[in-house]
Amino acid sequence: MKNRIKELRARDAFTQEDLAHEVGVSRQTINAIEKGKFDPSLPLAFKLAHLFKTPIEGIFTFED
Amino acid sequence: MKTTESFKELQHKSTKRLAVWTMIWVLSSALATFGPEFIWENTLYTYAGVALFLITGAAMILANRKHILNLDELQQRMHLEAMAISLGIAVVLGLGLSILEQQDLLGFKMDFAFMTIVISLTYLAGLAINTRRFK
Repeated sequence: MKNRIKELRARDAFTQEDLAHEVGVSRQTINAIEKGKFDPSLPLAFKLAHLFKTPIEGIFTFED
Repeated sequence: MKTTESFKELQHKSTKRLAVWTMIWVLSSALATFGPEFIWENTLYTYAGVALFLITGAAMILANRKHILNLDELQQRMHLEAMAISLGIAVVLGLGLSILEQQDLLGFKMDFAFMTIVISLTYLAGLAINTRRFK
């Protein structure tokens, strides 16, 4: 799954640590999601969408 | 919504709790092992030592459970994979060595402490690999 977390994080001037702080996970998890190494759960995806005020499908793109 | 500060605090707290209970359990293990040899001669004390060992062990298991539940989803996955590998190797290797021992083909005496070391090392190796993988 592709995502725009890094781009949205830059838009809102968040560091990975800030973002981790906001959604209640470790910085390593944010980093792994950004690099596409780990797909977040639905609740975490909703938290990110809520924080960035962007629909989930505007952040994550499914690809085979 | 949880904040990382509280997430970090929670992790720090549960890690500390786990470390404390592990230390207590190790000490109770030493007491139960060496007590009958160096401190007392009464069998009742030995039973009490083993009971203490089991109780502190149960507390350590519960602390570990809580610690795992307090991890975030990626950390939980990393631990789950490490546990799967560790458990698998322990079962397969343990049964393999047991078969050899039954046939008197094992060059050394099988000891559960050996399996504990295997489980610990494979768990640590699994965690290290996963930490690097998701870095």
